[in-house]
Amino acid sequence: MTRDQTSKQKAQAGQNAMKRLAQPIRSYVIVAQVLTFISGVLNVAPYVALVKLGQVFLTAYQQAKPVDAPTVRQNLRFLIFAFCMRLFLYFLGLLITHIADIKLRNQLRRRIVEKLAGAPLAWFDTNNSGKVRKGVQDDTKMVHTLIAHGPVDRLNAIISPLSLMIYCFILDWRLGLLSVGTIPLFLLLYSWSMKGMGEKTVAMDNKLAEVSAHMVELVAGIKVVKAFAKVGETHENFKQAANDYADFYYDWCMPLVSRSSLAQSVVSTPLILLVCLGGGVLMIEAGIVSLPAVLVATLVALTLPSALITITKIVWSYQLAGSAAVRLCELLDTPQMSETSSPKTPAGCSVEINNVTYSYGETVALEDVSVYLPEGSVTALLGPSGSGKSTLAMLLARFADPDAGSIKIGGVDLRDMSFDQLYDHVSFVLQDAMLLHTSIRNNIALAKPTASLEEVRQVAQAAQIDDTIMALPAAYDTILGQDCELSGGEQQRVAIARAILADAPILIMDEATAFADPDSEAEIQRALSHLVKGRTVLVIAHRPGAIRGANQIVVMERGHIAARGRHEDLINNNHYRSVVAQSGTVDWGTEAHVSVGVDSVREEVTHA
Amino acid sequence: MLRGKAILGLRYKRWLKPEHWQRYKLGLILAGIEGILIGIALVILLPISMSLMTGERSWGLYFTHWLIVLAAIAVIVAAIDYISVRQCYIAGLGFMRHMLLKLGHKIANWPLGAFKADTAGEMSRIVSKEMVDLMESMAHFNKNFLTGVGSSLIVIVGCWAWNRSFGLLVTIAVPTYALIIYIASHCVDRGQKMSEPAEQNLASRIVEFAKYQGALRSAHVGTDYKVLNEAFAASQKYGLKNLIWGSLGNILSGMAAQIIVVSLIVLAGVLAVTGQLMVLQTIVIIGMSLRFITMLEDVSNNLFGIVERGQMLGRLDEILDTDELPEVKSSAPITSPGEIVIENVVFAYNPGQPVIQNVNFVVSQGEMCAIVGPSGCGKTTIMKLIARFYDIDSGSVSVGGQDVRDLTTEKLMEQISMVFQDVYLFDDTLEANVLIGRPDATRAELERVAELAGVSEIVRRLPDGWKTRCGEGGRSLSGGERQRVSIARALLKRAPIVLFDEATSALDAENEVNIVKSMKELKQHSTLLVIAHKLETIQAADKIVVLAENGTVAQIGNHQKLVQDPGPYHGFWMQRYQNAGWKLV
Repeated sequence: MTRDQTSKQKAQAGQNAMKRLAQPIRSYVIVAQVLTFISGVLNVAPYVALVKLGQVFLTAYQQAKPVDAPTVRQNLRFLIFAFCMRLFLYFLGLLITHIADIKLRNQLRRRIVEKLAGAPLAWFDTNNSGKVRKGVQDDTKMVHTLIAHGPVDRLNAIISPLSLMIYCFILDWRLGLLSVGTIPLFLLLYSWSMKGMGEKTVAMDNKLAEVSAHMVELVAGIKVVKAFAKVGETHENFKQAANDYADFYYDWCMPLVSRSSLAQSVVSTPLILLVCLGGGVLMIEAGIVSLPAVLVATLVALTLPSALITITKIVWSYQLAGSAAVRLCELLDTPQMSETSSPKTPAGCSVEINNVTYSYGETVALEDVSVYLPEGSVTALLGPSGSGKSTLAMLLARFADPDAGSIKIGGVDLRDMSFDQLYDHVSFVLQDAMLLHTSIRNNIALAKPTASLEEVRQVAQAAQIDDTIMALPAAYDTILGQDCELSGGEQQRVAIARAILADAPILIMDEATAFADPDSEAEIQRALSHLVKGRTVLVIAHRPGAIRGANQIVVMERGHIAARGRHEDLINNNHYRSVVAQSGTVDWGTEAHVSVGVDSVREEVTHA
Repeated sequence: MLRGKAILGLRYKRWLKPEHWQRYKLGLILAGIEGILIGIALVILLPISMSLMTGERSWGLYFTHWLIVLAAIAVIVAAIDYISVRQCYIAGLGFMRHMLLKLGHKIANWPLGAFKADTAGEMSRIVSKEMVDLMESMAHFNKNFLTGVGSSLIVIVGCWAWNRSFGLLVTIAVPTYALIIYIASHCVDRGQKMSEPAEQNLASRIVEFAKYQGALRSAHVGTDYKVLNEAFAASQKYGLKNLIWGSLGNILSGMAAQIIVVSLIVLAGVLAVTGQLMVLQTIVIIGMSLRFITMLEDVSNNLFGIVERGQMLGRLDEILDTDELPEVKSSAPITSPGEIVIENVVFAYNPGQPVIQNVNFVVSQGEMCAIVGPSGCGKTTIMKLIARFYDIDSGSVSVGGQDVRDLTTEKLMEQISMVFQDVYLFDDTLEANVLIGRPDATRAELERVAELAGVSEIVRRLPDGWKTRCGEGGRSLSGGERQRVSIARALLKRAPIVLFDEATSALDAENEVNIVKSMKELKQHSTLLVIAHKLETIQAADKIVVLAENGTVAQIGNHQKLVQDPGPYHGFWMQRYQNAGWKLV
């Protein structure tokens, strides 16, 4: 019951979402529907022609006279005229839906792009990236055809058979009944064969999901599965699920198939011919109608059952698109970051973080944290993973706004700055190099598109990547991800070159970038050292040794600041010492220090 | 050729068990007979109408007799349809079960190297949606198609018998209709092919725009991003072209039946007026034309369904035809546990471009061996060859005294633990994921390895502790955290050989001490082969294998010895040594 209700609610939400998405092209769709309606009605023309011509021919036969040629020609002209009209209207309707389709698709994507440009940067986690991918690649595709073409197609599928049936009723109501023929019986049997389908379908979906989940587990986990000799077990699980599913499907499908075959048999061609002609002969003998009319009713009766099935199928596919539409609407409702209308200009580049609190849902990531970064200083955030150092750095780049407290640059709250101003002041180099699928030159000059090749090469040299780029066949015009794939370390250096060119006075960086690629550590390190020169730097640090010379080391623990100061001040601080010990990084001052593992680390800390 | 086979259902033969193939054959033959009977019933429409109008015999029977014939046919058709549909579905369902199991078996016996990043997604799509579609195509479309073809053929024959001119008209109608439909689908395809690349490009541009918002925003690039707008413009441009071709195609296919019907009626009318057709016959002919064209529409719809799904079947053939890793039936015995011998190994991912060339080295039982070398020199490949992700081109890789090709996967994996970069966690609790290493481990053992690998820290931090679910593939943990779980597993398993890639542990620097401790422990019980990056690790190794860029062995020895030689290791060490002392500030 509840499952039924939720699925109903889901369907309702889907319909609402479809309506909302369809709003911009509603007038197009209505016009197209009117055109389709008329063209669908005109589909009756050949049947009308059959009745009219049949009457002429029958009279000629009965009176043994030559055919009334002018009437025949007139009827044929009518038929051709109706056909041309239909062709024209159908074409016009199609054109309008196609135009509406393009318009809808374009608008949807534009709106998504606008929403993306205004969303808080923190929104772009892997989960939401997946949503965007699904939204623009699959859902838009699924939804746009159904919204633009769906209403027209559905109308077309319904209107043609319906007007045929109505035509029969117009000829004579008894003839109309004849054209409907055995369909009521068919519907009865059909709905009987579909009894309980709803619940069964849900159960079936669950079984199918299980099969698919076991398959994913088998494939994605294959290395682990093999390494821990679980092939047999996992494979067995899959086999079990597959067999369960196949059994269930069999038990569900076979009675359904038998029953629907029974339902089909009451609308089989021979039976309809039998019923219609048998009934027709009675009506002819009673002088109600003529043979051509009976023939028309018979032909209509033959087309109606398959038309019914087509309609149910179209309605079904329309419902499928519902969930895609819901996802798209969610994307269009992406939260937006507010930008001030009266921006203030910061005086200088010092950073004040005042009593900042921030949580992800229930989990408090930062609580009442205050840090001051003097202009031109280097501040390192240190602490175990999950201690809040990345969150703090992220807030400074306004990936999100703090729940409480404030962050100020040059005395101005981030929220009182325009985005242009903010990112004039702040740039970041994080673990993801964020290289775009365009030329290397454009990637480096992203923030300064007017930069000359000379300038671009200069910063690339500073980032230790110029030689590598020049060695590529297309040098700076190489399109990334198409002409070549750069190694992790090379990507990092392109990102560093980009940041050097952008030349923002405040830099947020993750020290892990320095050892993202053990095979080109030296180059990345030199590039980073170049980048930090002369800037106010906030660094997310992992190796205490690397940031020993920082003006300020902030040791974080569970969203709080546990200690702060210079390395010399912190040497006797327990929090600092435990972080240093855990990270196991050694300051390789002399070769004598090089030994194995932990002991040397302990030694280092105690000696210090 | 393949298309033809798909249409006749023959392509399913190889994936059906003999008993199901028999049933399927029977079902399809009955479907054909059903079609013939339906065709006969339709043909009866011609004489029965005549006898109704004239009150005389037509084709030898009176109206009422014809009605009795129709009744008889109706009963037989119902019976045949019932049997045919059941046989086809039993075969279809059998096909589905058989295919699911076959795919499962295939996956379980694929070489590890055959798995790509998107394999899981593709497989799950295949076993869920596509398999149902294929089953439907097989049981439903193929059957209806044959029925439709059967009845259409009979109608054509009947028309010829009824009136030659009409027979000719109807016969001409078939290729004409097919031609129009062919041109129509060609137009639609053409339009789509034109716009598809632009559409794809735009979609991936928007995804890129979302993914790299950070970089774009900090560079003041908003919705005015040039590349994105170019993609929008291209999509508009090709969308319009698609519109023209698509409309043309749609109008043709939508009107094809109408064109034929109107032509038939007009021709029949003209023939009747000029006296070339008898008037009564003309009425019936018009009626039959209307029916015949509907039948053609049905046949072509079924055909489209079959052809479309035929492509899925093609992909399935491809998957099931890929080579499995040849595996011996019974494993050779392990003669020297914990020993790795690499002899004259040559290996290439792509023929002609060897990644590993003439590599020779031995790691004895209990030894710790470090592999070092520049990026792309084949360090990871060697590890994968030892775990037999791929088979080598020449030479031999031996584990435990036997060539890996003479060991069953199970036996080989008993010898090996792997701590690699991409760690997979099952969507289960953290506890279950560690216990995979040794399901019968005691609580104390579990706690001990967790402490050692740094998993305890995660357990303490997460609200549900050991019972925290890891999400699909381990999604709810970070890369470093997943690595810790994988180390804990290896500690628990205590395999004679541990293959360890240090690369990602570098990104879990806060946990470095735990990694070092874990490695020390692993070293105590097992032979340890490490792709080493940290100086301590390299220095602690009993043996260092230095690989050159071209995939050959440049030097072998221990640190003390190698660092004094003026070879590549000396340069490598000095470089790394300087890097390790790097200070940002």
